[in-house]
Amino acid sequence: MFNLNEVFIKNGLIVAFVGVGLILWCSDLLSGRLFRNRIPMVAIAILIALVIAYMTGYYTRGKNGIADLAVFSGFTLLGGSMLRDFTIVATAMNADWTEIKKAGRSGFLSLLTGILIAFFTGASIAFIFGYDDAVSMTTIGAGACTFIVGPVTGSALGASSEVITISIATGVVKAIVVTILTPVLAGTIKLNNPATAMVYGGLMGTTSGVAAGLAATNPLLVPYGALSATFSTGLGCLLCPSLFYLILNYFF
Amino acid sequence: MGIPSNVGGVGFAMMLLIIIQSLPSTKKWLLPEVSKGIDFWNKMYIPVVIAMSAVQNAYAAFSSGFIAIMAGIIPVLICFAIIPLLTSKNIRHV
Repeated sequence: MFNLNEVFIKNGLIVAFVGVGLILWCSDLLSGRLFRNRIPMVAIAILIALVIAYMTGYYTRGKNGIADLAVFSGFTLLGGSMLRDFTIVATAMNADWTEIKKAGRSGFLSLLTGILIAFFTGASIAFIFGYDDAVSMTTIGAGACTFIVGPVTGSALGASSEVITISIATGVVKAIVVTILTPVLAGTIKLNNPATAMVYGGLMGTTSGVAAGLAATNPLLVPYGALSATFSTGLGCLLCPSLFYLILNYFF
Repeated sequence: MGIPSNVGGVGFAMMLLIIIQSLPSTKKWLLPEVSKGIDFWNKMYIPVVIAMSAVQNAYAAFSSGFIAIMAGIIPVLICFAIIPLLTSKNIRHV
């Protein structure tokens, strides 16, 4: 018997491409007709994708958004970190070395500032809500950096699985908030030049959020923001379980 | 190191590509075919980002409690607020 489901599951990556194509087509219609091109097409497409992820998460209680429906499992491949990192590197084709050298120092400064702000705000919020031991505060603070720094720090320090779950959730919330707010606030913070994009990428740190947020704002700025953001997870994994933990451990 | 992700290798790869295409001596490596290939993956970036958004654990993130939502939102708002401070400094130095 010919089974359509089976064909879809076997050709998962193709189904994912078709799915993304459909989402883009819908957002093109919405962007043109409903919002008269005031909201970028990509921003609408990403928002639709997030809503789909939320709804499928609600019904399946799974971890991978739309990919928890077997027919759409190819989305994990297309949207996984392997292709994400690969295509981000390819965006560097449009980047200008002199722009990066010009903004290099403030980009590095923003990297440190971003991690410091995220970590200590996150740790303070954990403290306010009753997680007053140094290990839990460090883990949740690390989750406020990115959703990779959180679990790495948590497992290095031996945090409880409940706290590690909160830290991952914190990082995912951050990525989504950055994605949605970037095109909205881009005008206010003058995010329209490579230097600001590098500072923004370093401060936000979450590669997923920065990559999607800039794609929705202006694809030409992607390489600059992504460049500084990709160093953030590494720096966070280095600082959170060591220096930052020792600081918190001294006080609590 | 036991870290389940790339910790900066992507950034260095980007710098390498940018340097190669900026220096006159290495620019000739980028034949038109090569550039076209890299440009293809550059454009493929948008579908990848949309697929990535569709597989985020959005439901769990927003239903796992107030701490996660607060700790996810507040630092982002602070960072957005200080972007103008950091960039104006940079312009003054330059």
